[in-house]
Amino acid sequence: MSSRSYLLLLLLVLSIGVGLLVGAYDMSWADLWGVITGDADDMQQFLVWEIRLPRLLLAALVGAGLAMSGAAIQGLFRNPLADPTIIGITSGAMLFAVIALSFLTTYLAEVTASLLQATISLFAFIGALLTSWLVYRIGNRYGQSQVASMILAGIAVAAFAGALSGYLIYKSDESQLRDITFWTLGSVSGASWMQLSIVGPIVLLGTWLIQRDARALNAILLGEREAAYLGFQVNAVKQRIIALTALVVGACISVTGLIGFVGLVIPHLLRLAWGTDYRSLLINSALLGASFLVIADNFSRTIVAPAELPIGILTALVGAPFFIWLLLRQQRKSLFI
Amino acid sequence: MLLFFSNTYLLKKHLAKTCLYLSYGIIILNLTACGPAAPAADHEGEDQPTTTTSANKIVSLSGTITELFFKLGMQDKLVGVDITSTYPEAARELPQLGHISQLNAESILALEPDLIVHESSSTGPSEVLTQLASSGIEVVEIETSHRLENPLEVLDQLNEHFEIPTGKRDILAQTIAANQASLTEYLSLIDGNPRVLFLYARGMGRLMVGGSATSAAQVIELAGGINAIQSFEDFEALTPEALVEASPDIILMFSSGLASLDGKEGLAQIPGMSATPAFQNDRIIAMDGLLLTGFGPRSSDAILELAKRFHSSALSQIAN
Amino acid sequence: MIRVQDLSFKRGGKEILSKLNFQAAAGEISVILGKNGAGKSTVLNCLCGNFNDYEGTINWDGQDLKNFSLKEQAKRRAVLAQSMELSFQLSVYDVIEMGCYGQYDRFSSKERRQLIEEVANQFQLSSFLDRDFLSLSGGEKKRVLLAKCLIQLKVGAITEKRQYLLLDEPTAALDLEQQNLLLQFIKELVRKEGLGVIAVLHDLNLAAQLADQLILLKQGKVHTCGSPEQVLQPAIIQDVFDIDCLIQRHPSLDCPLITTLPYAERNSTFAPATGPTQGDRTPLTHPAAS
Repeated sequence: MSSRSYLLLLLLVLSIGVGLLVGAYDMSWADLWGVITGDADDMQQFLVWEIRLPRLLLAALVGAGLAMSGAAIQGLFRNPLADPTIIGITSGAMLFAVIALSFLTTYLAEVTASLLQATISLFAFIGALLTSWLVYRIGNRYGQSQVASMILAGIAVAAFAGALSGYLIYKSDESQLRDITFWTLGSVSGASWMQLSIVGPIVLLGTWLIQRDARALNAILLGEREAAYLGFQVNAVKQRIIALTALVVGACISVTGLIGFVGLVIPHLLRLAWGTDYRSLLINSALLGASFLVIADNFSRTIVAPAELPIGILTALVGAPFFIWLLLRQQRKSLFI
Repeated sequence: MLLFFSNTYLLKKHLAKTCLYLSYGIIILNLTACGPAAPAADHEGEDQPTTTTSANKIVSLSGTITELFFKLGMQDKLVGVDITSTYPEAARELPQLGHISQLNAESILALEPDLIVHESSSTGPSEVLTQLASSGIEVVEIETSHRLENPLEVLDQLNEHFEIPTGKRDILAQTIAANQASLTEYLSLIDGNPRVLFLYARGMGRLMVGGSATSAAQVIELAGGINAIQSFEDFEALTPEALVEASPDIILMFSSGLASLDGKEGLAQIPGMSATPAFQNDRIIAMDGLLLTGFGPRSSDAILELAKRFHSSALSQIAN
Repeated sequence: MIRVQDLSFKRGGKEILSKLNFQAAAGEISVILGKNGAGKSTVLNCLCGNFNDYEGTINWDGQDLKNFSLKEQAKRRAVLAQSMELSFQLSVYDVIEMGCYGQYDRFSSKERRQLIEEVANQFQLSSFLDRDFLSLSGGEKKRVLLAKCLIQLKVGAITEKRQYLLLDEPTAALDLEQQNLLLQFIKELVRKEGLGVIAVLHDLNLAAQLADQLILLKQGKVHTCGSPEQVLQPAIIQDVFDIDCLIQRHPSLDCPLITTLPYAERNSTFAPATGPTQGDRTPLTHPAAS
């Protein structure tokens, strides 16, 4: 890891530290220290260990997973505007989550809330894997995957899944509609150690495996043939990256719902600041994405307290204008060259 | 060439710096963004020494239950309410916790409640409630029904967790029984049941009609009407043809729903609407949502009132 | 030594190469020439490992090319492609460093930097290393990619003695200065490192200056193969390229000099504005033209 990565790691640790300290429940540095040393009352212990920490860690994991997957997909498709949506992950997860929300709540009215939540997650995860597999199959008709046909297949599959989701949303009742809407806005509230124990290993293992393909991704930037000339099995790399991305993003959004813009903005920001070298870009994206989502969540649970703002709203609200600003800035700079 | 070189270099360096400053900025903002002070402090003064059996600080995640607390004069026990708790006006002064499916566990903890009540029919993800339960707060799920006695049934369930003043419960029971009696008497006087269509609206883009198993259909039948839709149970999207086929004598709406369509002029824009007897005879009834379908303490009054409005024409015939 | 034996290749039912035979030795420059569509790129694609569904054999220093994995191939040859797409900013250093990726872990980052700086120096790229690759001119880009190829071969040389460099129209779209510079570097590589070079070229004069061996393709077959002096004959060129030309000795370089002549009167509808007899050049009367 380079010094820049350590800087970002520091940022992540700081934002988690801040996250442990702020919230609707007043807590001072001394209280927090008391919790760490085990010298605090039960409520504070519970608050930190069972509510704030799992939530912050989930935000960090999801941010890392989304940002790193975004960076990897952009590299694989050599397209700065690509994100996991492009291979159908999001639309598939959305469709299946909507299926779960609209059918299971109707037909399995007896299921307990946490079982229902687990089912929605599982469905979203399966949907993410299924659609990305479908897109890959369609875009990969003759053994060699064509980037253009994969992107088109992604658009087509997303449109189809979107239509099905739309139909189900149209048919859904008010409370289902509200649940679906909240799902598309994303949230890390209700994070539990149980969720972390599922999402954590998937994201950590997935990001580690993606990082191992960093050099291949660099080579692919010069073109798939160039990468093959350098000795990389491009098709194998492609399959790996798509499978890992579907796994990581699927796991992330299955527990949090849709959280937009992290996968697009974070890698871009780093690319503009520190260049495209994937050996550092991937790990830095993970670190900055984690910090970004932790910070966004710190806002999401404090600015309208005691209620809370869905985190997806915040990421897009902050992400989109910032992204536009970056683009304009970049354009202006290049005008003077 | 050199100019370009120095420029890209500067660009990179500058952006890197910007990033850093931005991150610091965010951290600082973060530190200051502790949000509104936790309202827990406001209630500390009122703290009474409590016994373990009776809860003194209660969070209500149901409009009906909140209303009951106010009705029974127990509102001092409430430390927070959800977004559906809209009646009475004073309920809106309490800390607002948002929708049940978007709760913030920490905010609720900060209110230091002993007990959280919610209705079992809520389908929202309640991992947060599971979390709260594991913190030692009692989380009570109340079974509700679409009957006039629902408020009493809710009170009986609440009574298992903390003491409900029996006197006030009895008064409520008498009111409900009296309303029930006058409703039965009233309905026995008239014959003919109007066909009533419940129209749920959230603007023109979202129009739904209530099927036979909805709470709205229960209300309509209690008030002596016939739910105009019998072919499905749930809420379904409205179609012009179904509207004409249902041919309702009366259209029942939430006042918020009618407002979302800009009143009756907006209603006229719905295809098929002008062909219904209800619209032609100007028989559109709008009532507050919580009052109409909440099955709370005001419910029996509301349904009696609704029955009278349903049969206003029959009533005038009797008078003649 | 690369031996191409009876190489045939079909795409969409159409035979693009049929029973090609030629050899290319290490330490020599072999240039493949031919009209558009003669199959030059296809031959190179087969040699690069892009196409595996060819018939016949490509014998690579005693082994069948198909036995090599991509990684094995990467140690034995580097490819300078005609064009490449890059839609992200990447520094020249990062691009050159990709040459090391085959055996990345064998070197410390310090050793890698040393190697890259050495090669960059050799190609007059030292001042470019921190620049954005996309900001370079066409010739500079080609040099950077050639440097990447050299690094790849240097790293591969740890295990492989004989190595080859495959060039697909390396001088396309370069100005004259850059063309010369690039060819200079390529010649130097052959002399210093003992590489075998197989290049596809369009320019007959560049080919004449560069090549030890010329391979002329016509309609998917080897038409003629041999030294520039042997191959560059007006009759052969007329047959392969359908042009008339004048062949002289290059006044300063020891190689043939080809001057193409305007269209002869063969085609009456397109009478040339200036006749072949104009100027002080002696027109060549070609058997085919008369």
